[in-house]
Amino acid sequence: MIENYHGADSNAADVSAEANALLLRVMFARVDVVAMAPAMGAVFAVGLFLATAILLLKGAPPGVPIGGNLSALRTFLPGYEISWSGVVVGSLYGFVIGSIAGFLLSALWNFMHVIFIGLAVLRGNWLD
Amino acid sequence: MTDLIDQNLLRRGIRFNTIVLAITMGLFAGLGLFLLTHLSLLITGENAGRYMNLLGVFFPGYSATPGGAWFGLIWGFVVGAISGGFVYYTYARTIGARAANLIIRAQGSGRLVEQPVLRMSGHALGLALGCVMAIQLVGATAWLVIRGTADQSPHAALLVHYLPGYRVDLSGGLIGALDIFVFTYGLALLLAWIYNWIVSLRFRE
Repeated sequence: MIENYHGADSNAADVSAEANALLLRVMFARVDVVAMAPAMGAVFAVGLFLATAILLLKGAPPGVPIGGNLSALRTFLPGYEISWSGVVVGSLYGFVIGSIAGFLLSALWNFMHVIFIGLAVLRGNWLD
Repeated sequence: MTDLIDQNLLRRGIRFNTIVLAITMGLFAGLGLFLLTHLSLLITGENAGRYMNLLGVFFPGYSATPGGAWFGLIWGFVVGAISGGFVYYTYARTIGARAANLIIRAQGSGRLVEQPVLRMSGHALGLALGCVMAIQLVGATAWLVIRGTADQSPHAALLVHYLPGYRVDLSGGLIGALDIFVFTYGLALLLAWIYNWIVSLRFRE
């Protein structure tokens, strides 16, 4: 990206200035909210999928319910249970919850950048 | 390319974003715990504390009550901020000046409008998140040992189902930390891969 960023006659100082300008763009680059939401959703879905599936595969001693604690999630996630159908239901819930979390987190990150940059500009104007 | 970058500028940029992510994660975690406590009270009523009160072991003052939720807000903010700051600092120090290759200059509707969009380094993210999860597990386990309640922590002991070799003692905590590092690293790679793929589809340079 640096190599494509400067013209044929630029010298080292120009290239360095452009490199630093690019670095600033990186520092203030935004997180794509539309991409982050499904990415986090997928991670949450995989997490809940594995959490449930591992317990099912490990099983439990006779007379002991499988996943007695994890099953408490059904209080918040109607339809969720420690079963193979529950694995699917849990994954779907995980995707939805993760997507919401990813959306909020990335939106908050972008918003905080705007706030901080705004404060920096105000501070600069105030000092001037 | 690293010798082209002003190292002082890089350090200042890292410090700036460390603070931004610390505050972002602090707000997210604090408000999240506060709202989750109230949601739990709304849905389960008196039974809200069955699991959530366990957090009071690590967050003094917290309980699944309206008053305790405020302690959750404060503790969530503190822990979230420390974690968020650590994650960004570790992430940024890992990628260093290579960060300049992690943006896409997205073009706007018919005009060259530069809207840099971040891409992610899965390795750096995995390293950062893996470390913070490992440190938190070791810290939590050590706290239970120091309190003298390690033997009375059946819920913590259940982590062995997901973290092979984990026990509620110092050596078991280290083994669990290694497990959770590997697991978190893998999930971070997945997160970054999906995110980068969608970004590359949406924004073509």
